[in-house]
Amino acid sequence: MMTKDLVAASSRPMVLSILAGGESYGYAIIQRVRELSGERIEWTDGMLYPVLHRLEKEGLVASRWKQSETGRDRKYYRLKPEGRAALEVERERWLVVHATLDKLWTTVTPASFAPLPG
Amino acid sequence: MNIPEPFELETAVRTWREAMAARDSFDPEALRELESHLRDSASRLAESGLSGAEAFLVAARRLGGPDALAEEFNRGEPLRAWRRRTFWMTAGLVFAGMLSSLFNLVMQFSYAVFPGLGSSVIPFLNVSPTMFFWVGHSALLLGGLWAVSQGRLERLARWMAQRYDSRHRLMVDACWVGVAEVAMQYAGALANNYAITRQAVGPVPVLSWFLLLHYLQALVPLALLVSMAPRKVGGEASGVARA
Repeated sequence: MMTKDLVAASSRPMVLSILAGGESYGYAIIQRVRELSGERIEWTDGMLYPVLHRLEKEGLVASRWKQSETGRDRKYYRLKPEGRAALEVERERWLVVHATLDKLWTTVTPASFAPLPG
Repeated sequence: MNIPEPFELETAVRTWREAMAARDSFDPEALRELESHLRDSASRLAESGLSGAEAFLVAARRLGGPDALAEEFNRGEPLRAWRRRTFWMTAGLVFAGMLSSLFNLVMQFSYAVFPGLGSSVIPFLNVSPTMFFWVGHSALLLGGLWAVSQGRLERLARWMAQRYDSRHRLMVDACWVGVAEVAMQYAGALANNYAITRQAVGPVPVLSWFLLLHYLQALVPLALLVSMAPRKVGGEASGVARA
């Protein structure tokens, strides 16, 4: 179970990254995160939409209504060039955090870690 | 949520939509988007073997409760909520003003019909500097709130949203305004030497029924104001975490 703060902070780069792979809609984005994380990241579905709306307001993504294959209308989001640039910045930041933690955990204090269960 | 038997998806969705719309935090497009999500999610769950009712309930729970969602949606656009609030504040103040006028009319009428009640009859239309001041500052207050509720005066709305992040803050400020109003009324009454006011106010002004009525009358917009204020104090990290 991830903490609320961590999920909140990571939702933005995750959404941007998923949209970098092509146009998508809320339900599919949530399913993708659930799948990729091995169901260890669980969002309250509705909370994704304020994130998407904020990204749209910032001019990073664009949206449009389109009829899906089931005949229902869905709101699709796609990444704008500005969004791709923002994603690159986010990526840099997360890689720095990741690299730092990785070094700490592999080189500095390896002995203090017990093997993880499972 | 109560699901009537036999299960009807359209009825269930309509009930859900009504509960969401009552929160007033979702614009029609956001609501449409959430509904499309709910339907997607429910039909996918139904495909995996759940009954229609079960699938709908699980989908609705995964989507999040109306209150939690409203809060999350408002966080992105705090000013929208304030537009709505200031609209109702204006309505409350206008309503209180109407009550006050009605009260004054009845009082003046009673004094005119039963002169024994007061030592003098207040002229029906009382034109005085105090009255001009009253009309002026009420108009300013109403005009300001109305403008905010109509999406103008963004800076004022932003200031309100920032300052009044809790009921407590709003209540304290409203009490100060209330105290200032009563003090101004008393000062105005004394300055203008209204015989009837003086008689009614008496030597211990704060305890008189006249001022008590004014206090009570001030409670209408105050109660409205406070009921409009956000329930939660402060803001926690925004995000998509499952609570």
